[in-house]
Amino acid sequence: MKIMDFCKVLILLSVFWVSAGFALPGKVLIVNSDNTVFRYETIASEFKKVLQQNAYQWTEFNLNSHADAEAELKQLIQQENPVLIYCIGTKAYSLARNVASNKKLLFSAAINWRRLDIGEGTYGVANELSSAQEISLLRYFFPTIKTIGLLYNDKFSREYVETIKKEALALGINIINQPINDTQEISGALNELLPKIDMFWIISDPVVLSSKASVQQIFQAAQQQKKPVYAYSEVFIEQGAVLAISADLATIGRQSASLALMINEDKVPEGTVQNPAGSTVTLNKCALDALRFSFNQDALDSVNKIVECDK
Amino acid sequence: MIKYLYTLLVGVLVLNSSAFAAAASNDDLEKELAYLAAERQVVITASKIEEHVDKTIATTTVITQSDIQQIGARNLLDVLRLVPGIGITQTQMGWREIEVRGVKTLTSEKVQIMLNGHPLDHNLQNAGSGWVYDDLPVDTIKRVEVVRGPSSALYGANAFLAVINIITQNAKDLNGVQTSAGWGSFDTQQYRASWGKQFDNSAEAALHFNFTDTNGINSPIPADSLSVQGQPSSAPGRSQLTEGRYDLEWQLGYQDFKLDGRYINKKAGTFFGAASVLSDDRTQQDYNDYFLRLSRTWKIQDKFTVDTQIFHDFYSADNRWQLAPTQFFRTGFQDTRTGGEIQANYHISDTQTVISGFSYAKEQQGNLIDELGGDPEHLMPTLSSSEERTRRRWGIYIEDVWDPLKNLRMTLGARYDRYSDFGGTFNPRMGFNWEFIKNYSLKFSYGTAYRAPAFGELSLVNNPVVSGNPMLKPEEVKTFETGIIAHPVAGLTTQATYYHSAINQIISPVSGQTTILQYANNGSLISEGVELETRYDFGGNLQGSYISANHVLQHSTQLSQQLADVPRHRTNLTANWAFDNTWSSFAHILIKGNTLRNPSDTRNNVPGYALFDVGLLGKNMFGQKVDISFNVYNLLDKRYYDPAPTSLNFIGDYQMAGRAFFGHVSLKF
Amino acid sequence: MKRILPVFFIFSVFITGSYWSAYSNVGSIIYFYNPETNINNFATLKTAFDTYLVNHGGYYFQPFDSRENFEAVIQEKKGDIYLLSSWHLKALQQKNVPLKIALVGTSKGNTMQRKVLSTKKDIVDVTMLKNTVVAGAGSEEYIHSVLKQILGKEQEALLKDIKILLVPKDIDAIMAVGFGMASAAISAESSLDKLAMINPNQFRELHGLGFSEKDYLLVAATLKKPEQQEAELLEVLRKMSEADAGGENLKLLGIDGWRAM
Repeated sequence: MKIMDFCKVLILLSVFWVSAGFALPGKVLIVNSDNTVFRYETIASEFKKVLQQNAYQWTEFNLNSHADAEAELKQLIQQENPVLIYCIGTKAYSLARNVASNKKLLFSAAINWRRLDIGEGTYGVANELSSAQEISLLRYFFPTIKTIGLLYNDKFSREYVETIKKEALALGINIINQPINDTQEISGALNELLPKIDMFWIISDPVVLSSKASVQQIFQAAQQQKKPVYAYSEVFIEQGAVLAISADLATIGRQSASLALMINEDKVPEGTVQNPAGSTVTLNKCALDALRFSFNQDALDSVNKIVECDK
Repeated sequence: MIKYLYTLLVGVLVLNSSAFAAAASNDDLEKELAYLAAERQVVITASKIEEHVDKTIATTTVITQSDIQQIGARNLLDVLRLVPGIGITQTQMGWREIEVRGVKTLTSEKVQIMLNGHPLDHNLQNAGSGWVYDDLPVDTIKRVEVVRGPSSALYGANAFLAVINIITQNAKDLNGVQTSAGWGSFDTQQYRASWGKQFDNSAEAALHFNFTDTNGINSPIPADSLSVQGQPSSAPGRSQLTEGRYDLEWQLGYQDFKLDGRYINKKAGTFFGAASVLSDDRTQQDYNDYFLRLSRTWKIQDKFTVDTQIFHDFYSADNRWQLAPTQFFRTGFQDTRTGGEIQANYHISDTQTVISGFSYAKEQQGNLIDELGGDPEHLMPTLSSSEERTRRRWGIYIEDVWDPLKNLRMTLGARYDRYSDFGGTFNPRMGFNWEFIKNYSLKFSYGTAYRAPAFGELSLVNNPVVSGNPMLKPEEVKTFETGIIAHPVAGLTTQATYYHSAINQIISPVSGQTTILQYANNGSLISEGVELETRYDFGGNLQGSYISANHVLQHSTQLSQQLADVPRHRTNLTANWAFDNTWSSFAHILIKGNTLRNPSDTRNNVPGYALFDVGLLGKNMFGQKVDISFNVYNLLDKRYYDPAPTSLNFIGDYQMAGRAFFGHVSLKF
Repeated sequence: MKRILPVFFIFSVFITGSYWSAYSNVGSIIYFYNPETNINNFATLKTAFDTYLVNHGGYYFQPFDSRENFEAVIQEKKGDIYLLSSWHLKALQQKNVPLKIALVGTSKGNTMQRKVLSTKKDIVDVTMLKNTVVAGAGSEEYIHSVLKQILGKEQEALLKDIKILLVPKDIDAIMAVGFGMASAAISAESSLDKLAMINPNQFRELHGLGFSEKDYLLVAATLKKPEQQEAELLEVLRKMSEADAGGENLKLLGIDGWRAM
């Protein structure tokens, strides 16, 4: 081996490396699973606000308004050559991952992100609050709660439920989880579960919450057995949930944007998935009074909304 | 009043969101349910973290489907010849040699080819996996991963100098019907039909059918051992390397189960022939090869999965060789390998994964055919040159991939294999990948690998020239390599790798007692070199365009002598220019250095050459459904030669194809 | 337009009905804006305070989520009571708005609080915050100004390399550090006590890297010497903590009582 040959080529290569210029800042491509879905759209609009403040350019692609979304998205990616693809919802992420695996992807609003196929150029903001945060706040309001029950579908929520169980245990709360495969199993599962628990927890499981009827079924059963219901979203307050601690959608949008800016500056480790940083707390005093369930008054300064009974 | 109006206005501001929201909360539930319904549409199975090419310790080149399209590849060989460190040359028998890092053998037995992770070294008599896979059609390929360096610690036998893993399109990739056809010089025609579908009940199916036929390059063969003595022979004549093949591949899945496999039938003539006499068109090689694999992944826990598989491989050869103008020899055998593997994957933490597994296989050879005679249609049985044989082997392995720091990946692995016929072998592998500056990574790895002696090498009998040796031990290689991979700017990838391999106990024929030659573990070989690669992908309006170059300096020595028939350097320059979203053009220059002869060979060195290929590709035409490409290989009609071995020194060298055309159309439904 | 119409509809039912009669004989109004929270609980605040105040002299409560609108009201009006953060008050006083503190909010007996910049214990120096995210509740301007004060003159240059993530509440900001969404948080010291109670493990992982100067909690201010009506309203406000419903309302503002200045 002529060492000189090797050195010559190495020198050439180093010149190539050193003399290289700077990449121009590129566009962000926002892929929205369905812009008629409130959650997706709220996050998207907050995300865009921050991009605008930072003078970033973006292009939007809404999957619901394209017949052959995959092919069109592929073409758009080629055309725009975005530095980052922001995928809102699982559908958007799965598609983008398929057609642009070599691009940096940032996702949000995907239920239980741990089930996603996560590559090394992927970043995300989870859909769910950190379960430890949720449980901490829950315990702040209801310090006496010891056992909480929940229903879930294994295919969609297994990883999330496993995390909840672990975090809850660390905070001294026991979680009893009951898997279901179909909404028809809800009634039986609740009958079995409710007597064993102090509170029922509604998680964002798309099989358990597949229709209004299944939501009503849960609340009716809980009411019959006089068990308070805690929910991941304030939309269940109207149905009778005593407390809802939900991820603040606007914060998810802002947080995604802040990640996007930092990813572009290469300041975020690959594979980073953050939990939403902001929570919205809704307390249903009316439902609490009806159940004669007391709560920690000091926690009121963390409440966004209190619902009283209609007089 | 002003106060009132102001409050009214403020009231509107405040109530705008809250009061409206309260009144419409039922609507909010609907919205949330709509969101959950949208999320329910997408079910994701099996989450596995893929290792990024940059982060592995191995030197890896990945060729994607779109690269293959742009190259206008006619078969796998056209893809492989672009990979740094790999060279393709013609053999006298017909199949091609895959030279890796300056080491080249007739049957390429030091390279393991895999299809979707399944090893294809099904020929137990002669080893190697190039027999029916060298000219594999590429239309159904999604990706080719070429890992240079030893990989026995993971894959066991024969992952010696390189592993070529071919990944084909699955049901999800196909999602419908895809057909394609190609036509080109030498009466080449190729057809392909694929269908794939994912069903709602988690079942999925993909089927591929390929058919290829070519008359071969018809190289002039000026002489053979008879013609040089003035005796009647086919020489001067032309090579008769006709090739025809069809194959069927299937991938069926239901829940966590998967059944896949591929059947191939290949019939070929020969390039020169098996002896030193030029064969006419009566030499026929007929191969059948298939594998069937049933696998299942068990998700025990989020962090703990177990992959299990059972498989059955089949390979048969039934070849009729013309040894002299009126002498024919038919030889055939059937090989099977049946076994299973269980692999546990434990994700200890976000930074550490351990895999470990056990494999078992039983290999058998039987149905031997040995016939001899003057009339190719009526040959008479003769003494068998091969043996019916059974071998059992098992192996255990473990590998730990650990990221102790964000920018440091360490890999440590080892594998022990035990064979019923020659005993055990232990192969470790270790290395690290350290991103010492953002976008600049340093790689280092050390590993060993082995190649199990083939049945033919162990038990070749009744062959007057060479005999087998049941005492053979495996060949061994120790390799260390180090390199830098860098992305100085977006779109630019550069890599420099230095490798040093020491191959010991090489199985090669030496002077024998009962025959002229006998196989023995004899000799060692040192192969070292530098591989430089760079690729720049353009962005913006030029998205899809790239330029790339790789340059290899290699030096292989045996007994302090530079190895014959392999070049000292090889360079590939490629450029792809995307005019718009549809049209792109491709250009490729292959520069190969001259190759030395064996010390006993008085011929001049084989001169180096440069070949220039161009292509034009139109993609996603007629409503995204049609792709058309046209390629010209060796545009300047350069006359060039692959080295003929010393034993055939009278013919000079093998003249390879001049200018050749290839057109290709593919349709998606 | 789609959105405005139902709002007007609701508005006309709610406001032109009950509110018209109330405002036709309108008493003093308490205007509220707090840049130190993002909590967006205005609807709850308004309902809760109005219910209480109407029954204690026919007063009203008007929360704002926009600083501009709140300041416009101050510019416009020469009476009424303004609940605002002391930081905001000082800023307005610097602009020569003649606001005077009448009452100071108390929490567990304290009238003063300071803001803490807390981080995980592996961050030992503010310079390590370069290129990181700092979470905080409130307006960006407010967080910026607190950070500036904590960093001091020497480290002021760091500010441009820090990204601010706005979250709804103090507790969100602190937890964002614990869960890795931010490297540091700006919060009230009392919020850290709250964390110690609800998630002691996380609390143990944090430490205070810097502190702002002590400042009043929420203040109630007037533009001029209170007239009789304003004085009465201030008294109602001061005594709120004595009634159950009133105390609960104050807790929504993060205080538990008032002290007269």
